[in-house]
Amino acid sequence: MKILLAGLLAFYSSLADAGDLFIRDAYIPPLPPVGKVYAAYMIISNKSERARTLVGVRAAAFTMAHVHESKIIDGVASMQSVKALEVPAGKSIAMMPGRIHVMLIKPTVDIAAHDTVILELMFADGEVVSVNAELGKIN
Amino acid sequence: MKSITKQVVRSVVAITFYLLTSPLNAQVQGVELDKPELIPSFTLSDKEGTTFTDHDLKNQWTLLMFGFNSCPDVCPFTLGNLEAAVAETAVRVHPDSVPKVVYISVDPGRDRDVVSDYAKFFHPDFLGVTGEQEQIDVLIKATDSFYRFMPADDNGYYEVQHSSSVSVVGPDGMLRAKLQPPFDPGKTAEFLARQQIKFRRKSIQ
Repeated sequence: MKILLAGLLAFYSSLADAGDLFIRDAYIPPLPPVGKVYAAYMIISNKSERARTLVGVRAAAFTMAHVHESKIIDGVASMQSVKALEVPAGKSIAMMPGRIHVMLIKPTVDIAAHDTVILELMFADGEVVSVNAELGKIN
Repeated sequence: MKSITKQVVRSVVAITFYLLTSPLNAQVQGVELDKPELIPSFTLSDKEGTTFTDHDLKNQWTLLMFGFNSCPDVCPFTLGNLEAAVAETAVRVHPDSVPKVVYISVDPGRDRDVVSDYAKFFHPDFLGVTGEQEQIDVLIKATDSFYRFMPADDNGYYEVQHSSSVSVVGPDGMLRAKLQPPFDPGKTAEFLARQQIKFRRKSIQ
């Protein structure tokens, strides 16, 4: 019974269903072992009737986690910190390569391909939603 | 009235045909230089000290990409796309004409010892090099590219803003074109194959 419960828990946590917020397809593309700065991508859906705002991300497996947006302006690639990412009511926001991403700096533990990294998404209303992101996955 | 309708239909067909066949539409993944530019002398190297110089640009097609290893999003994405684009190009061109991808870190302070391993992760044939800042700057200037170190944050992390385009150098060591993001593999391969056909035609004239 315990195993069944644990299995169900793992299944649901990968979908990160937290009431009105659904987070899916979370992944971290592969990097060479010498790479120290990763990016995580996911789709955040807001099924509620009010806008929700992502204000930060925690990742215990990394020294730092920031929401960033890559931009190419006049042919120059740069990143900007995203302090507040609004997910409008009934809409989804897709983080994707070359756009909005979670920058993850310096792993604090040994991580390898197919490991699961837990990301905690912090919203402006105080809600924290955990999601499992698979390392080494290519979407 | 009928003749007006016919004229409108003809115009729509003509405009649609122009949009579908115009060079602008066909070359969205790259821009050809009006006048090719010679890449001047430079010397970069990998972690083993193997040099990469302007002489290595001769007799092969080369794609030069600038970046830095601590770039979480754009650089790995570009290298991954270039791997796919080169694989697509290999289907279209002679094996000797498959472009060599050279990843140049503009951040030697952090990347000197790891730049080769970083590039090879994306394809074993990719070359990763860096070097003295002034030598990097020679290539930056020659390819009309750009980079800028941003201030470090509280944890010591700093970003390096850099050009997103990839420079296409022909077997004569001349900068001939620039590839633009998002480096769609099929379209980029088409663009590179066309560049090679043009180059061969000009060479035998």
